Amino acid sequence: MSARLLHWSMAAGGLAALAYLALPEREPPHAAAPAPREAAVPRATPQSALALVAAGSNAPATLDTPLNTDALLEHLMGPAPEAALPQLEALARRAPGEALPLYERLLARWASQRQFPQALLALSTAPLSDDTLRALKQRLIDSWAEAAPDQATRWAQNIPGQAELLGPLQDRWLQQDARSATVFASTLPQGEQRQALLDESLSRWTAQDGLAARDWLRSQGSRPDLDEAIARHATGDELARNAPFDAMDLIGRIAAPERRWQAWQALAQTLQDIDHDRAVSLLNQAPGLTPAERARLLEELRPLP
Amino acid sequence: MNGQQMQHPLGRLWQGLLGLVLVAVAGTAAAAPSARTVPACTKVNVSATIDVPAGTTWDGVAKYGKWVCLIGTASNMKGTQSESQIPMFKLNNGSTVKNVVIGDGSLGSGTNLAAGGADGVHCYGVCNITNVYWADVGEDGATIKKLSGVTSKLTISGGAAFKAADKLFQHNGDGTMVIQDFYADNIGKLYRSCGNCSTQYARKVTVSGVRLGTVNSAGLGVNSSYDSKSGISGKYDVATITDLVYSGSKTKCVGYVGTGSGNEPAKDSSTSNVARSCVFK
Repeated sequence: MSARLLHWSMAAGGLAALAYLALPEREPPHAAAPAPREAAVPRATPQSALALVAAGSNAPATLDTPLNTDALLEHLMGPAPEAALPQLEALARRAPGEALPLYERLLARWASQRQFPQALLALSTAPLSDDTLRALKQRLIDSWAEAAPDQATRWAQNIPGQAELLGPLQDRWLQQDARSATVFASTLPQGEQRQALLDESLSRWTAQDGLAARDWLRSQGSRPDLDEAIARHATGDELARNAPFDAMDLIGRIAAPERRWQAWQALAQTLQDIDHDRAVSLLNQAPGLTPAERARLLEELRPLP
Repeated sequence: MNGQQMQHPLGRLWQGLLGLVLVAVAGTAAAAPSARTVPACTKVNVSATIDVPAGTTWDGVAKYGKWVCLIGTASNMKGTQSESQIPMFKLNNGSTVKNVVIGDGSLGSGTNLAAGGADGVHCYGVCNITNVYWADVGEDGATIKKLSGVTSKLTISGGAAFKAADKLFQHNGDGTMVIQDFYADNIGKLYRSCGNCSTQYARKVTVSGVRLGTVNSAGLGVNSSYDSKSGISGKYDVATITDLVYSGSKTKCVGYVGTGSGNEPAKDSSTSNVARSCVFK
């Protein structure tokens, strides 16, 4: 799925439609009864749901001939499935049970082609029950998160009403590419969500590839929003045991003085739990401590009984 | 006199205020993670406990170059609730296990499955479990065992666990269990301090930045008092809980009366005992 298509989809009215999908309650679909033939309801034309949404149309796409699900399926699996969407929607109004498997096939097809925004857009006009829509949407999101979590995460960030999906999508992205997911989190607008995603990202990245994560942290200079992640990583037993100089170097980069001091104390305790004599030796070499701070840290260390 | 000492007093005041603001921001406990899912992983069969030597790290992603899910194939590693299950990992003092999936969540449904999770991870001494996922918890997810001469400390940081029929983390030894930045769903209890071990200890558990989905019994179970059969009457466990996100109906922290081997621990009816043992910050 190209970024161009994603943007095009949004421009085609997807914003409103997808926000609509996220609403917990919505009006029930129109009654299943078909419109009388005499009524001035236009015959459904093979215009796409995208166009319908773009036009702001709520008019049901109806057919004046019996629906042939086999033919409809063939159309949906053909080169221009969007053209068959009005017929599928009409079928869904008349017989949701028959339409559901066709929706599943269509969505699976689009998912396999990574046309997730298009699939979500089609769902936004599907006259199916709320539970069914939620389940279909969740399946799509899961599939998208697995196939292209970066695109899915950016989509969730850009589409109003999808913010609650950011965390789970970021979760999948972190498993595939922790560096990119972390950098993405660091570029989000300031706020609680950004901080939460940044902490989460660094927690996972430091676990998966500590060397690379620490390189990145060093390249960021002194930033208060990184303090918590640095403190957690640098005061842990594993780093203190295997790379104590890295741990001390990181703590020296914590921006907030009080948080930095807490981290020094925590690291000193961790080092002491491992080996008291080595803790004293390491703290005597710790960078960035004033003589008074160093003396206080050493004084606080008590030999294990 | 250096430049720092020559600063105007108001400047120092301003710096102090700024420092306080920064501390207030930075000192905030880490937020609980959002719901997590098991990483896509390649199955690797395991026929015996993986013994992680003291002071070393077993890193699944580093070892295999990708996420793997370890499936116990021996009859006593199937991951049922049988008490005879052996662990998938034995962590010796100062060791770490990280970046791996234990068990296979796709085997059937429900919580009492032979999903190959064995008896999870056994920790002897000081251990770390970092970014580990239990796809389907077997008998227990992780257990602190007593190592003579060492005060136990198990730190579980990152990762997630799913489908634990009973408790997820079991504390049998002494010392402290730290559970931070963790997600668990469909579990009996997140943590249980042993109610009737043959040797009892007043234990500590620290929970911070943890999100729970479905909980079937309680969040934590601690011994808020110990009876005369326990051998440590008058002592009690302490759970320090920060940022535990759970919206279900089960109690977040339950107090029991710890007892000795062969006896069943009862719930502690003293609210003051429970209050001193379940400390929410």
